Amino acid sequence: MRIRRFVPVLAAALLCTGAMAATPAGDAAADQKPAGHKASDHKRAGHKPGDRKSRLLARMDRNGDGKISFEEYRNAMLRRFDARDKNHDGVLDGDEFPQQWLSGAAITAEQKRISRDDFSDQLQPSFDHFDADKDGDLDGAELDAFLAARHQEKQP
Amino acid sequence: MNRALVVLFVCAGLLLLGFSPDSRADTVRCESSGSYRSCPVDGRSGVRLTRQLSSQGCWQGDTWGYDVGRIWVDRGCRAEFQVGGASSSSSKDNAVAAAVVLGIVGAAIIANKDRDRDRRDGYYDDRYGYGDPRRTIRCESNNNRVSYCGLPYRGHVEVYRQHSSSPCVYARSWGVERGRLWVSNGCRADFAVY
Repeated sequence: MRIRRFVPVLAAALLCTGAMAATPAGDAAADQKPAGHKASDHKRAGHKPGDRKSRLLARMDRNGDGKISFEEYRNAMLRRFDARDKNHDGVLDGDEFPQQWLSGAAITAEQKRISRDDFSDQLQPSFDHFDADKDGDLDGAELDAFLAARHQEKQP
Repeated sequence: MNRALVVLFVCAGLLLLGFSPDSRADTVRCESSGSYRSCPVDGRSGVRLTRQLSSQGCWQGDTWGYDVGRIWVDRGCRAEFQVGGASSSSSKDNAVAAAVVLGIVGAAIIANKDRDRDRRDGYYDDRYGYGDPRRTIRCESNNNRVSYCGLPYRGHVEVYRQHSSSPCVYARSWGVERGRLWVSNGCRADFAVY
């Protein structure tokens, strides 16, 4: 029961680390990386190249409208979950379980495992939580709120 | 005579009951193993994708859809669908708690970033582990003409970022044929190869 409360957290953490992976250091091998830093993208999305929002959009905004729809969110999140699930058993456990994402939080997972179904079922609630105006897209301030956890990185 | 009529009516009634549209919502699983697949359902009162089972993308109107008589899936989209009926209320979560926790987790990530720098860097080099594509390829159809693009290796191909206002829809404006990617009808996009 308790594990269910972690699922939105995991979802956000998966996403955040995804955005982190796109730091300049990670972009050194530019030819190998998804082409998400093209000038045209940023013109469309209205953000400076390299900011967090742009990186997030580069990863998830499939139709290039500067917003993240639930469909885009669902597909990206499940890909991330499945990539972490190395043995493809539909469960993150053992080394697959992102324990480090929960340490520091005032919670402890009793079971170090999370099933894909539980994860999947929390995608809509976690998305809806950030979709303040309930229009089915994350954009503008909603994306900022979504990335808020990452904003703290700049603080000492 | 009278009894025969009653029996007839009862039978007719039962038949009607049996064939009346079911107002209950049903969950149907429809799975593509890579190619087109259709699953017969009564789609008149709507179909909703409730749980995506595949890593490979499920995009409505592109790799899945429905009409009055079927749900179809394509290109490896596997999912459970709710057919008809009102949307079932899924498990409610404590959103406020989730939001609070989110902030704390953000801090946790930073704290760990320094502590586990080496480990983290090792992890981040493993780009594949993020579910991000190994490679993306830009392919553009100009003046609505067909153009072909080479693929660097075999793998599942998906639209990663559409750049055109013309839609990139599988089999209609893009596809993979004999190891080559093609686009047409003004579809311009980055394609991911997983």
